[in-house]
Amino acid sequence: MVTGTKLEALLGKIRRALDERGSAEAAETLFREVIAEAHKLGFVSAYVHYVLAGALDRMGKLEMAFDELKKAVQADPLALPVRHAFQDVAARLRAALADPTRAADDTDIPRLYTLLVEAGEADLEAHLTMVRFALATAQLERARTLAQAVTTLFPAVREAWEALARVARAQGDGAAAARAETEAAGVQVPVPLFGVTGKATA
Amino acid sequence: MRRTKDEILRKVQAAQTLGSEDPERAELLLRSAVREAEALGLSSPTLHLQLAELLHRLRKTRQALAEVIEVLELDPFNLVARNLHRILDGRAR
Repeated sequence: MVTGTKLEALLGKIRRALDERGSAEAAETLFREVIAEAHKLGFVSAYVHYVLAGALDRMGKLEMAFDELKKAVQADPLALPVRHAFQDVAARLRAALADPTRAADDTDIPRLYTLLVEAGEADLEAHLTMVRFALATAQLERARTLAQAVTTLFPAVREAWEALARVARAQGDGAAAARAETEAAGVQVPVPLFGVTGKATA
Repeated sequence: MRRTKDEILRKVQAAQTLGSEDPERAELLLRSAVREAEALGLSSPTLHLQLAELLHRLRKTRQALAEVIEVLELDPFNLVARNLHRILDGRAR
């Protein structure tokens, strides 16, 4: 077990950061100093990354909190509290990315999307938001590649095919657009569970 | 049999749920999760801490102390483990 003056000093910094009521920025600085010093000692502390993530989240720095939680999960992959916090923040980032009030060409979209993709946390809505962004900013090749990938990942989702159709049409590829629209029409009606339609009666 | 990380996580989750109503069974689950994690080459301070807290509640002070020392070997900056170590060390003396 590591002991000594250096360790005690770093533990003192963590305690001060946790007790920091006046300045959240000061707490962040203290946590980051501890992380850097711990690293020099050969440690990646899931605990410190986790408490720093909590402080950043309370400061509204959601993306930075997510980054710290990724490091915490990597350092301790079996820590349930860390995983729960990671999933909670990922869900809030997904919601922020897919916010319906966000403009299709909002410049924050690629950054948020990359953050989620790199963490393996991008869902259908996230991918579709990025397709819309690429389309809105005239990155048609990128939009096409992404839309095709989305239809491969979610072949039974109408919105995926509709996105591909929009991109193909924007590229002037009417044949591909028509094929995608046909696929979209094919998945329009969900198959009823157990093949039962209508109201069940006894 | 080698378990996957997700299977171990399910076991840890089950142990957490059982913690208050059947702590002995929770202990078995956590010990098994620790062994399986080690077989996968994973070291989890939090898993050892969870086991230490459970053993502390079961008044198995020496075993709890061994687990909390394991946590501090892996992550000496974990203040929760530091606090528990102080309590357990005082009782074990």
